[in-house]
Formats: sequence, C-alpha cells, structure tokens
Amino acid sequence: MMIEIKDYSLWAGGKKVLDGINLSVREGEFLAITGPTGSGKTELCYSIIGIYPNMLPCRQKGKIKVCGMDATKAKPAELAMHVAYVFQNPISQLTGYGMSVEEEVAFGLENRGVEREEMKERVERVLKTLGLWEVRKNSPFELSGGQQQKVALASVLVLEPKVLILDEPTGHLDSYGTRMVLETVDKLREEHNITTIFVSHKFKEMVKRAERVVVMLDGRIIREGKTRDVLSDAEFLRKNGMIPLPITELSEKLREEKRWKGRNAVDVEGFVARWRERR
Amino acid sequence: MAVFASFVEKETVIHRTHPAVKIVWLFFAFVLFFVSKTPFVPLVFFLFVVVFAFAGKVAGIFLKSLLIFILPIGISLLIMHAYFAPLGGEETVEFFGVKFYVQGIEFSFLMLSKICALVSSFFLFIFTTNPAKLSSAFARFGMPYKLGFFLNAGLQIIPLMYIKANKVLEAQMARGLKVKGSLVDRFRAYIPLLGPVIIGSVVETFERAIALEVRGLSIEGKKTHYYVVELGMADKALFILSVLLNAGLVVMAL
Repeated sequence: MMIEIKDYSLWAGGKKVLDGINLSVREGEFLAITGPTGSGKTELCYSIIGIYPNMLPCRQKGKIKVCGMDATKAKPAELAMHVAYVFQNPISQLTGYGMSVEEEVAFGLENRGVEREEMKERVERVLKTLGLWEVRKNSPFELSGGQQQKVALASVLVLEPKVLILDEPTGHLDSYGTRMVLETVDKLREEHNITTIFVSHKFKEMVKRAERVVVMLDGRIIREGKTRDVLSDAEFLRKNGMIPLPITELSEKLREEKRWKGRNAVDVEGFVARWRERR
Repeated sequence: MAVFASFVEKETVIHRTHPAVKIVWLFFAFVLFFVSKTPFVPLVFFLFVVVFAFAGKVAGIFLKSLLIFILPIGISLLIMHAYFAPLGGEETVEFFGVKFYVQGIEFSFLMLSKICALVSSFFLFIFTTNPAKLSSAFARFGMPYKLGFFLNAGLQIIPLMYIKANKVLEAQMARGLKVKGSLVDRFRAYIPLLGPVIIGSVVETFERAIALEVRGLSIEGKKTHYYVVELGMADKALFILSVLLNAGLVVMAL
C-alpha cells in the first residue's frame, strides 16, 4: 500500500476536524475524495503531507503511513521525497524564486542537491511532457491560470514523486484551464502510473478518472466505493449536501416516469449508448 | 512584459556582468548618500547608471520606474525645503510671485541627487540581475542557501505585490470601479484596492510556505544551483575598475 491510514483523528483550532479515518490507497490507484466544504478533505491531505503537525498546531491520534514513512512524525520536506502536492490557487504555489518557468521548476531539484546536468535533463523532460517547453523562458506570473497550474504540476512532478495529491486543482480555473490541467493529469496517469489522490467537488472530473471515491462529511468518511456506485446514488448525495450530476438527475427523472429502467447514469456517453441499446 | 521593479530578461553585457560588480555600485550609492556634500558627484554617478541602463536595454522601464518613484519625492522635497524652509536662511528668490529660500532649494537638489543615485542603482540592479543567478552567486561566496533564498524572495515582494494589485484592479474595474480622471479621483479609486491586495498576500503567504516545504526547502544537506555564476577575468577587472572609480567619486564628494 502506498498510503495507509488507521483510526486517524485530528484536533486543530480547538475542534475535532478528522474523526477515525481509515483509508488505504494502493500503488497506481486513482482515488477521488469529495465532500462538502469544511468536510475535512484538505485537513486529510495536510496530514498526509505532514503539514499537520509540523506547520500547523494540532493533536493527532492514529497512524498514517506514506510510502513506509510515518507521516504523523516525518517533516514535510522528508515526505516531499515521495509525495507531491498541488493545490487550488496556482499563484500561491509559485515560489517566485525563479523569474522563468524553468527556474521555478528547477527549484525543488536545487533543494535536493541534484547535480546540474541531471537537473537540466529532468526540467527539460517534464516541461516537454506537460507542453511547457515553449514558455520555459517566460515568467510564470505572465501565464494563464491553466498554464500556471501546469507549472505547479511540473514543479512537483520533476521531483518524480510516487504519490500525487491534487487538492481541487481546477477550483480557480475557467473551463479552458480546467481542460488543460485534466488532460495533463490523464497523460501523466497513462505514462507514469502515479498513485493519485484527486480532491474535488466536481463529480464530472472524477467519473472517468477515479476507480474509487471517498465521500467525507464533518471530518468522517461516510462512504467509500466504486466511482459509478457512489456518484449514481443521487439520494445519498443530496442527503449529504451534494448535488448529483445533471445526467444522474435526468436518468433518475426518466426512471420515475418509467421511461428508463437502468440505474442512474453518471456519464453522458454511457447513458446515450445504453439508451440507444434499449430502444 | 516588463513588471515594475522586476528582472527584465535581455542578452546584454550588463545582464552578463557578475552581480558582485553591480553590488559595488549599489554599495557606493549608499556611501555617497551619506557622505556627499555636493549634488555634482551623485549626479555624475547617476549619469553612469543611466548609461548602463541604456547599455542593458532596460532604459524604458528604468526611466519610467525612476520617474514614478522620484517625482513625488522631488516635488515634496522642493516644497518642504524651498517654501517652508525648515533649515531657515536669508536669501530668497521669487517665482510667479511666490518666495522660495535659496538654501532650501540647494538642499532639495542635494537630497534629490543622492536619492537619484541610490534609487537608480537599485533599479539597475533589479532590472538586470536574474534572481536565480543572484542566489547562485551568493552561494559561491559562501552564503547559506536559505539566506540567499530569503534575500532573493525579499527582492520579489514588490513585483509580486504589483502583479497582485493589477489583478485586483482588473477585477474591481470589471465590477465598475472607475480608475480614470483627476489625480484625486485616481488616488481615491486605488484606496479600495489596498485591503484585497494586503489581505490576499497574507493568505497566499501560508500556501506559499507549504509550497516551499513540499518542494524541499527545509531538506538538509547539499544544495545545487540551476545556474553556475562564475566571477570571470572580465568581471574581476570590472569589479576593480568599479571600486576605483567609485572610490574616486567618494573622495570628490567629501
């Protein structure tokens, strides 16, 4: 297992923010974590990468093992050797250290003491993979939101992590930027088989990517299962403050009107194919 | 796009010159600020820096930034000392019926010449020195990596705030904020921007601190640099020449 969390609880800011979390993520898996705002998704991510307790005061109970390391004790810099973290706002992830995209991407390698020749090779490789080679000399602050998020991705991928945590990576982006980032995530998954934890409110982004979905509410995992099973359960989602996908609501409505016999749909293509099949 | 108070990428001899040479000029600008008794020497120093700015192909942004910075200081200095005359003085001159003190005018020009020398050398340094190369140069002189990083990050604060302010300004304009009109109107329009810029920057600081941690800033052990900045023979010669020239200027200024 790449990540193993056992009976983990976290108290921060005078209240319990995570309560008895049990979760395992296997190598190469693409796991989605969802839930309403304030449900503890980001706190769980911060615990995995060691921000709790190293950068934020807290009390912890239970165990988190990340690539064999005890994340409740290790420093973020040590965990960063294995786990990469990308968050919502692309601007705040740019360190501003380098005046160009390539310098920004090289920053993590400098910290690890990677030799210059190898550093150049790795920076070039990751920039080409993410389609940023043409803008390598530009200031990251001049790029679009989507491109900035790609620079943030490149900056952590150049470190060749085993686990990639994407905490609402498209939250600040328009539809073009969102597509740009998701296509990059798909490409990485195909080419590198990185274990990925994808935190998002946007069910549409999870449907074709995640094998498993974890739903959080009030600091607890309230459901865990196959993406299709969880996201098609419109009643469960609504009951817990989430809005099902439009296609799920449509298929649900059609079933109520006895015009659809299958289970709730989660993707348009699948629904249309099954609709045609039945007619 | 050139950003206010930020490095401008160009292929010129000034850009290629080792940061240590530029630091010499910055250092002597400080020395002149404190020791010069005449405006002549700081003005000569300033002219040198202007020539370097043209040689570095950053004259446009350099002069614009200088004007933005110097003009309000210059005007207030002149009004304060030439009109209100806190230093006193007997001799006066009249312009359009308004009495000005000669001693105050002289003092204003002396201060302005010193400020010009200091600010211009700072802008030249910022516009022509790649921060990543600066860190590498610091490291070569034995400066700890983290200290070099924080000095570098300090230099980036103004450009980052400028970018953020522009984004907030665009957002506010989209919501109907008028930023055109008289100087007073413009000033009034910029006041609501201060809150979002300052608060936004504080919020981003925490996320940036996480970004630095997950990219291993605190990892102990050997650090390397993307660039290798060597102090070559030409740089050494320029360094010595700069020291001698500036030392001569300081002697003249005493």
